[in-house]
Amino acid sequence: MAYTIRTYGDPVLKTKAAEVTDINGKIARLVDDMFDTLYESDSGIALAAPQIGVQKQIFVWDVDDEQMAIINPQIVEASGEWVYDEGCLSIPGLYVEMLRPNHVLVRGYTVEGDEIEIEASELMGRLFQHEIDHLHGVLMFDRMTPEQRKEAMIEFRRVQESPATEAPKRRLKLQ
Amino acid sequence: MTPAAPPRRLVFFGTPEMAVPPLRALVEAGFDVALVITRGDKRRGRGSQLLPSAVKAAALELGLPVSHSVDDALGAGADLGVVVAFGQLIKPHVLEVLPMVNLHFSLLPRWRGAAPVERALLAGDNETGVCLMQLEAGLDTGPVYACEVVRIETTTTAAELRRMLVDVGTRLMVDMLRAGLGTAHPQVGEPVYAAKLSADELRIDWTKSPTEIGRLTRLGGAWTSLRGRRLRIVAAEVVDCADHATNELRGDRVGGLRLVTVQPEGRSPMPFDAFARGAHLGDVESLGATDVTSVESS
Repeated sequence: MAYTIRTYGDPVLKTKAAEVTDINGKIARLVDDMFDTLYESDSGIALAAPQIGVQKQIFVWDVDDEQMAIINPQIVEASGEWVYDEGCLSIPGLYVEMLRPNHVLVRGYTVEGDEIEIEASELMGRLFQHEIDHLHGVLMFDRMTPEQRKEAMIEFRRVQESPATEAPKRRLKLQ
Repeated sequence: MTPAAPPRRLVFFGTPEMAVPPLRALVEAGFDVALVITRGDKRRGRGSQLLPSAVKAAALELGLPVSHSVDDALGAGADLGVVVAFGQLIKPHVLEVLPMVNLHFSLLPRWRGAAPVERALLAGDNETGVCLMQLEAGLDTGPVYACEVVRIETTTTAAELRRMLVDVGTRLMVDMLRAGLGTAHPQVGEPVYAAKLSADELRIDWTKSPTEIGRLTRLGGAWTSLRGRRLRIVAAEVVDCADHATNELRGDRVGGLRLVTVQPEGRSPMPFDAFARGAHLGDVESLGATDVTSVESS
């Protein structure tokens, strides 16, 4: 079942999610609901549990025909630099060119309860960092300098106020 | 997370038939093509009337505005230029304002330049491909977003290869634009340049091997002379690549090469045996031995 995606301003997005202590059928159902929500979204490729109001450390993604969920993920290593126009389902319509590490090594658990380690870079690396931020109550705005945030906020408000039918996707450069 | 926003408004630069499928695919994929820029109309054919480029004809059919001036791209309110076989360099002052991507028909940095398809065939490459790259002021020097490989068989003609490359390239370009392009990586390797073919290069040199002549005929415009008149070899096949070089035509064979379709001066292409019957060819004819009296440019 698809949920409503919580958007910027909802306090759940600012809260740290709790570790999952028991990977059971309830978690599997939650993951299914998260995929349903992701597929109903406009252009999402990944979704974290807090974005549907569930404070659990889980996120799902669907990129290049790989559908997967990871539970209690942690970034163990990060290196390099990569600039990418990032967007967020909870800040719809805003795209911000952000600089973050390129490569990450992520450790966590699968829905089956097996421990996994994933190495990722570029888009996948960015996705992991963005979603793990959600599990810590961190949004794109929190990764910006005060001036950048101000500019991004103005842009976001402008995007929100334009009618949904013709709301163009905006890119914002922060360099 | 959502991936990078795809470009919203595009300006399309293209001229020949090869650039038409990419333009149509962009429109079909829902991209807002604000303006199509194409090279000026050319005088072509017998009537010498001005004929629009293939891209111009398609753009008008699609109801898109058309311009012949690159500078018009700046006023179109676009956030990306897409260049496919435009046939003209784009000046730095335009590139500085409007970022552009270019679909190039080779595996860069091999065959940078005007004739990548023809050069890959002539060189006997067994693979080539398409690259989507960021356009820079230099000749096909920009960093590459993505490439895809296309195989060249020993019988692939330039027309077939062009069709395959356009198919693959169109899909690659639309997918990459939808995904917001991602990162471009610098080209790696020794650059090789693909200069435009001259009419002289299309004249068959019968001292070359059947394999080499076979490649030249696969371009579609190879020609020789027979009894002082120009004869275009539209299609030929290599039947014995080890055969020695010769210019003697016996039956439909010239050494290891079999002529399949030819086009005599002023006539339409025809099967070789139809031509041979009409021309009352002798048992042995020598090709390319005499200078042709008139050389039309094709």
